[in-house]
Amino acid sequence: MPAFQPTADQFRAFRDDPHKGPIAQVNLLKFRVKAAYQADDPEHGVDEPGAQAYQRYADAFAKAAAEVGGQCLLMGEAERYFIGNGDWDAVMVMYFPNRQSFIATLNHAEYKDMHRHRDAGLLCQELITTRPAEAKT
Amino acid sequence: MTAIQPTPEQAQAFLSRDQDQPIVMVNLLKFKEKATYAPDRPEAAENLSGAEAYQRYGIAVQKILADIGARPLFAGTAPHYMIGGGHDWDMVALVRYPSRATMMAMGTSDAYQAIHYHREAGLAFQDLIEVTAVPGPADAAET
Repeated sequence: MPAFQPTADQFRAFRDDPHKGPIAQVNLLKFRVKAAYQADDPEHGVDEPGAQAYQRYADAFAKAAAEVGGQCLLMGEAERYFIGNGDWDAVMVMYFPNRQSFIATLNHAEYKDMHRHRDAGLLCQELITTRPAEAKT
Repeated sequence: MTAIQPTPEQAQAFLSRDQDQPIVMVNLLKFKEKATYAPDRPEAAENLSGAEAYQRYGIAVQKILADIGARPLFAGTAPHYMIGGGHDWDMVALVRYPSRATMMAMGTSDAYQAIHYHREAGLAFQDLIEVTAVPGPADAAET
């Protein structure tokens, strides 16, 4: 069941999770065929794939995350399902030292500015929060 | 539809691609509540959970991965959906292979076949997504 944002319940469950340690956010991503910037975005009207718009968001988000110890563990193109079934375009896994650092990244001063690239490029996604059993940093 | 093995079409599609290209395999794993070892296996008497059986597979497979130049990038427990929803997964694990060919060779090797019964005993089903990694920090660490 893909979506675009957490529900209020999902966000509360994340915020109130008693787990204190590191997390890794596993993003399963589906892009728009064509980027869809809003009329007041500087990029409005550009002819490019949604994947390209999302990559701007991913780059800016990873930079903001790095300020609080976050790190991109994987950003890659999903070629196919080797076992099972699904239709994602990409998988991105981001490591954070704790849940607070993820929330801090969402509250970063430049988040609003970078988020237009996510809106323009992303069709839908799943986001699975996990606790790293081992993380290469 | 859940699965524990590729279909013939999925295996064929995998083989039709550049066999020298490095890949990352993204495992979304669901374990059995109780391990199902064949009665003639000594583990059948241990009353293990599916997670415990799969953990034995995980430990044994790490040695094989090291031997072929593959490595686990990450394993995450206690997964839950923050956006969207789907199978109630038990674990997410990422493994980087130096090439598609090494992954296929591993799957058919005697060493792998000898430990695979732990996977069969513990795994209820999984998704396995083949990802071609954009070079990043995880790759840079190797060079």
